[in-house]
Amino acid sequence: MQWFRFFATGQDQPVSVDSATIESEFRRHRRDVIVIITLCYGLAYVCRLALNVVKKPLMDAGIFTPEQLGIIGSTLLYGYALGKFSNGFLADHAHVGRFFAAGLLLSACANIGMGLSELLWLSALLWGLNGWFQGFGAPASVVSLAHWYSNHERGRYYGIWSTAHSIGEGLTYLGVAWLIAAPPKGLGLDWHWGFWVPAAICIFAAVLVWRFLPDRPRALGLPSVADWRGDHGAVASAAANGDVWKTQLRILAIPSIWVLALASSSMYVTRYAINSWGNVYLQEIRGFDLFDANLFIFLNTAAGILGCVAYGFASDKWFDARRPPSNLLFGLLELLPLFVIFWGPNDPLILAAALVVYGFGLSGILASLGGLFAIDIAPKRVAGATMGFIGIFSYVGAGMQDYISGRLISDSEIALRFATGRGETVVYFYDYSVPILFWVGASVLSLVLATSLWRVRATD
Amino acid sequence: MRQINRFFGLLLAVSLVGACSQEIDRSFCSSHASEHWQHREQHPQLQIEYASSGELQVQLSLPEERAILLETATPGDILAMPPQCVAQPLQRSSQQGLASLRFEAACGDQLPASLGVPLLLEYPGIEEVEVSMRTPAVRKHFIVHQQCERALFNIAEGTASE
Repeated sequence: MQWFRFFATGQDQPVSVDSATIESEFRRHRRDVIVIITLCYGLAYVCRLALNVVKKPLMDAGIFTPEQLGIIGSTLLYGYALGKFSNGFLADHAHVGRFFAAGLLLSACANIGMGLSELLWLSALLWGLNGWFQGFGAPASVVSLAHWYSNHERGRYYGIWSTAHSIGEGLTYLGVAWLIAAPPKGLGLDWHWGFWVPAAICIFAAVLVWRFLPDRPRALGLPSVADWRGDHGAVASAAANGDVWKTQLRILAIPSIWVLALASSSMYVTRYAINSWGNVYLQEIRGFDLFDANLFIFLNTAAGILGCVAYGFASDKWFDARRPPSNLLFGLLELLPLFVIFWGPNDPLILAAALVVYGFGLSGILASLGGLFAIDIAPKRVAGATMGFIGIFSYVGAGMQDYISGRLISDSEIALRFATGRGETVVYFYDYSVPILFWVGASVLSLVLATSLWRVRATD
Repeated sequence: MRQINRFFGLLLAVSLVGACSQEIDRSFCSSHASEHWQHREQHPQLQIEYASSGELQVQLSLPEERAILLETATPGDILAMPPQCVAQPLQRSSQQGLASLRFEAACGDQLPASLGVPLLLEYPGIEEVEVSMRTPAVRKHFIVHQQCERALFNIAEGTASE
């Protein structure tokens, strides 16, 4: 149990009496916290998304079929769903710097293994474990934010930290794609490097986190941030109330929460279909090269930052904080571009514009289905449990999507085999028409479910 | 001890030679797609149209001097198909020094999931083949070269006068 203690948060230390020291220590640690969690959570993404970029080279090399890649991809999402749930509990008791660094290091190991593995079961196991290791980052970051920023400033810093998603997706869809893409657009490295370079980046991030992400203020001999800022919440914490467990169970009896969970899950099907298979589709069917295809996917994730902000603004200002009208608006902004992406012209500008609008709409409606609207409907004191419940549904949906999409793509396979003096060269032809119906259909279902909650009002 | 050192020295040398020769191979294979247009006319070009109705149209074009290699060829020498596919006889024509071998095949309701191209193995004189295949969903254009493990995509569309 020695190692377990190593990861545990320290005991509360006597608070320093020197106010100048307290002031300077808080300033230094708070600067470190926001820089490190934003930068390193972004870097961690590279180890999570690497497979998406190298899917096409893996298919072209005949190492894995789309169905096998679907199995491997889905294990990460199941692992991540489990990780988000279990690691949330663990992070509350952990020295977050060591906890997060361990997650990054283990994720790097999984990526190194992925670069060496051509076995389905081993890759699925490694990628599933990677999903769980990736689940160390978000809880550790949120716990850090809770310990180092007070109630009235946490929203701003949470917003800064949230940009890590786009930093990470940008680094992956542009950076890793640049490594693998053929010259002159990229370095033309082998697919293995698509895992090993992200692993090196995650090891670097782990060192930074280890060195600069501190334990709780009280464990360092500092007062709590609420005391330091004089920013105490008006309501006692939920954990102090004995009825929390019962209230948490009550959310299961709210039909709207179930509808919302299904709507979110369906929207995650489309989200992860585009993130996981979108670049493969753009290469296979639309004929773009690896770099351009990933650039298109990056555009949709970048537009997502604006979508989140715009959703909150639109629902608060235009619809008097009613989420269903905004859900319909952003749902249509998400759905309609899909018709252009899959059945529209092959013009890169039109395609790029469609992906930007899609990413904008998607992020908006996801912010509602998996966050804002869910918290409106649920009792406020169990907002965390509600988010957890919807999160599990969402990632299980995303995981099932990865397997189903891979299976549907594999079913359409036509192999053209060339016997040569060196062995065999195989070129595969796939038809994405059925998976596309599945992806677009999931968005339609999500929109119908979300709109069915038109009359649902927020609770206190 | 000296023998062990020699063994490792030899192993290192062999690895380096192996790695270097692989590097030459890789460099050729990574650049050939952009240079292929310079000698496109000297090598066979294979076109396959794969319709959703199960019908295949196949055409192999190659310089007449190379077509001699395929004088006695049958459709199966160009495209190996599953038994349910019935191929029409091979039609030959020639124009401006370019020979053309064409045939059609019908595979019925059971669409073939795998087709073979034995040209490169059965006719070692053929070093590479440029392929264009269209299915109901997608068209792919690539080169398969004896020296390269994988098919080469993104073929540059230059012309001889460039």
